[in-house]
Amino acid sequence: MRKIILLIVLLPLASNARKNHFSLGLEAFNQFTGKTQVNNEGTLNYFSPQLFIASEYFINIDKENNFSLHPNISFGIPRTNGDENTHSMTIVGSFAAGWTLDQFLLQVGLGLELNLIWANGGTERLNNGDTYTDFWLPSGLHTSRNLIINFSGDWFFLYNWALRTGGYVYNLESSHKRSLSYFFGVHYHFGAEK
Amino acid sequence: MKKLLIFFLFTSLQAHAFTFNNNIEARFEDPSIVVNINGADCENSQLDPDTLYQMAYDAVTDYWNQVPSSSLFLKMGTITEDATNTFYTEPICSSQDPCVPNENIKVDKYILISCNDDPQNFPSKNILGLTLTNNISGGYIRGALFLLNDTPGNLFNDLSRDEIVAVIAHEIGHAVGLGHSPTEDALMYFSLIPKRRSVGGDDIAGVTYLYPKEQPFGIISCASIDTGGGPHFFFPFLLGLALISFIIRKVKIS
Ligand SMILES: [Zn+2]
Repeated sequence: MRKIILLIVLLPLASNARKNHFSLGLEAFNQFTGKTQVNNEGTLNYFSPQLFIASEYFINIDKENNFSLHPNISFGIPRTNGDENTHSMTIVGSFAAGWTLDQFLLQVGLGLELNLIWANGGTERLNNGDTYTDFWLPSGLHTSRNLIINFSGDWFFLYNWALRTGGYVYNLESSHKRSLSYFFGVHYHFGAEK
Repeated sequence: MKKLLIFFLFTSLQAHAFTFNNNIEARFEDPSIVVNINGADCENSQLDPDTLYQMAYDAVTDYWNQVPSSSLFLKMGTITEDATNTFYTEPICSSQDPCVPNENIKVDKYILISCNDDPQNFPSKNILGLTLTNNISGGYIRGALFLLNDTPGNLFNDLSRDEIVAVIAHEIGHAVGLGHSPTEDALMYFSLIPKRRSVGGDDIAGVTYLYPKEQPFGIISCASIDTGGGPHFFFPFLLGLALISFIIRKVKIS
């Protein structure tokens, strides 16, 4: 039974094996697409990417059938969300199964997205209607954790260079909080020779 | 130029004002929070309790319940008939500078939205609403009161339905522990903007800071409070994927 499952999964794939290697990528990451207003005209964040640095290991577990595993860690540059006194940063760790088909690598897996939010305390003077008020700022670091389903596709336009696009799916169980982030970028594969 | 419409936030000594909550005391302990509506009619702003209920539903659904990285989930409760006239007429502070919360309109639990016609609360018609977390104990918000300005000549009759929903969503932001944001794209900016459709990045950061999503361990309680429909298959799905990965690996090794 187990071998039948494996056969079904791997049968359509051509042989184009690579050895185990490491890759590093630069990606544009658009978080929670369509969930965030980005200006006072009502524009939503369908394209408001932040810079992501992605690192990944390619473990070839079945060279004949081009089946691989991909531990990945990606992180964004710390950002301010418009308020210079508070900062946030996104880190994603994932583990995906991959299939190579000629110049293409498809992946699907699971992961965890961390959103780190921090500030150094103190107060910020802000308009409060008919007067200005000192509002307290957060003090310390809080981190949210979201389970994600991650998927991606790579096109190796050169042997060591690939264009990548993909996404993360969040909160499938919730009709309100269900969301999609997407990314696209370029990866360099170190020592990916067959 | 668009008329500047102003929100207002009161805070007691216990409840600091903040841009993001810096104080663990100033959040609800349970991120599943009920929003109730006072049963008094809003005589001067043509907002009856049923209309207000529907608008509050839209406010929680279209704004705060949308944040993927936060466990905050607001649910509509009931139109209450307890002390309706007291909530409609009394001042929110029994004395000012600093505000001492009026015990007569202390909210026992969750969030209560009420119209109010006391001119002490609303010295200017530009003030659309005010919110006070007027029941804090054990380090947490237990109850918060949001009063809509129903004094004669208030500005609600000049607002579109979408704008009133945005005002309600803004004040609910205060009720759950957020202060103002300096950025215009944030719902917690101090005034209405020309077109409001969603929370801004600063709102997401603020509510995530206060009520972070904590998966995988929080996923079961999260699913149980989400009444928005949809099958709760995410966790079994993850387990299934992990199992398939494991089986494939074992096959390969053997
Ligand atoms: Zn406000």
